[in-house]
Amino acid sequence: MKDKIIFIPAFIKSFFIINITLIFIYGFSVSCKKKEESVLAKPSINLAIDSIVATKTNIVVWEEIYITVYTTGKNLTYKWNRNHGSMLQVDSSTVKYWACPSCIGLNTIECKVSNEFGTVSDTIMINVKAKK
Amino acid sequence: MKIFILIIVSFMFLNFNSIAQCCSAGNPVGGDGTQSVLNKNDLSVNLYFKHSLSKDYYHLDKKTKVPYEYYSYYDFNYLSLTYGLFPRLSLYSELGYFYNKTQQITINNEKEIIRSNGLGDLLLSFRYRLIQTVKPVSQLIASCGIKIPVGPFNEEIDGIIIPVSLQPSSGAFKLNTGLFYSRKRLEKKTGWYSFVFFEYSNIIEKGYLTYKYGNFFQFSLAGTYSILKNLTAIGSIKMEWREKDKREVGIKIESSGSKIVYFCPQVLYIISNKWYVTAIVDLPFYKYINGYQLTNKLSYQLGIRKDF
Repeated sequence: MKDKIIFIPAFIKSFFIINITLIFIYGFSVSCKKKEESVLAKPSINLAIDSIVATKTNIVVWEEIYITVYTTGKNLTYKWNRNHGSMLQVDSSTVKYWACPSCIGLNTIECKVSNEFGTVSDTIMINVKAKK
Repeated sequence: MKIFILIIVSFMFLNFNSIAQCCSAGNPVGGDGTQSVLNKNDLSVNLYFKHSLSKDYYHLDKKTKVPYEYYSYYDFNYLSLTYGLFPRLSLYSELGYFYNKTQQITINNEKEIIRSNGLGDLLLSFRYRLIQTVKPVSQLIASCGIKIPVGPFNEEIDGIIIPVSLQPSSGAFKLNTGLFYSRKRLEKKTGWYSFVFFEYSNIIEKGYLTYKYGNFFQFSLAGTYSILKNLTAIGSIKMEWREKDKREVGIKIESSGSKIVYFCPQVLYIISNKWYVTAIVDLPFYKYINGYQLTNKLSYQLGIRKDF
């Protein structure tokens, strides 16, 4: 049997080569874009709540805990709120929290922090159980 | 004379309700109980002062000790207007102001005071005279109304929003209905009246707070005695039932709701044809409290009324 020689015209060869080159160039650009998107934005240095931390999050009735908000920013004012329980100010970023018997349940404590750049807020849940 | 007796009987029912609720001085509920229906275009203006003190924690029907010492009180002033729309129908409105609504908590021998002031709730109600007889002097009056939380509900101290129970406004729309019956023979110095009252509260949904006050029911029975022509003494027994409050997803709050019975002595003095003064004391003598709650110790009320 004679081997068949397939003849490919020069313009088709050129077409394939150009297309493969373009695909490589596109793929490279997309991969570069993805790298750009995956760069994490820096947190605001003007106003941010880093975290709210409680000394305990599972307490019994009448047990006292302290809740502190850690923030970034200057000239901050703090506003605390909750759906159930009692709070007293310790200092501007810390409150004392306790719950009477009518506040048994999963309670939400919210802290709003404000300055000239706006207001941010965060919450922490405190589970209050009956005293055994 | 007949009008005089009618005025006495309708005026003497001047009781607020005291709420047994944790950490609460309470927001007066459901009007002053004055179930008078005026003639068309007549106007009656009432000005009252009320002081209420809550001190002791109760568990069921017994006084109990809690780690913190609570002492709670309020001073409340309110103005009410009754206007005769039709011969049998009157419109009643009432709005009060808390000079102070205070809670003192003693924690480890340190006293902390949480205090607020402001307008309470606005009450609007219609009163309809169903029955009126001359001999004996009697009347049956039905009422229904709405309570609108017009006062502040976001008071704060040191950047901390104060508890719901200490906010001047109750924060909830409330519907109420009542039935009042009074009876007195002209030739006798004694008479009696009775009052039933029911209040339904809407749900409060504000931020993370979801709260519903329990349904409230009150029954009162009173006897009257005319000491002098212009001086009447009244003694009444008032019973109050409050169902348990609810929080989010309808969870019942076990330490809420109560049954309380009060003895309420009262005097009414008629200065002139159009001026009246009264004084009432509410003394709870039986309390059955669900769970553990701060309860009302006593309250008193002084009032003056002018008819036009």
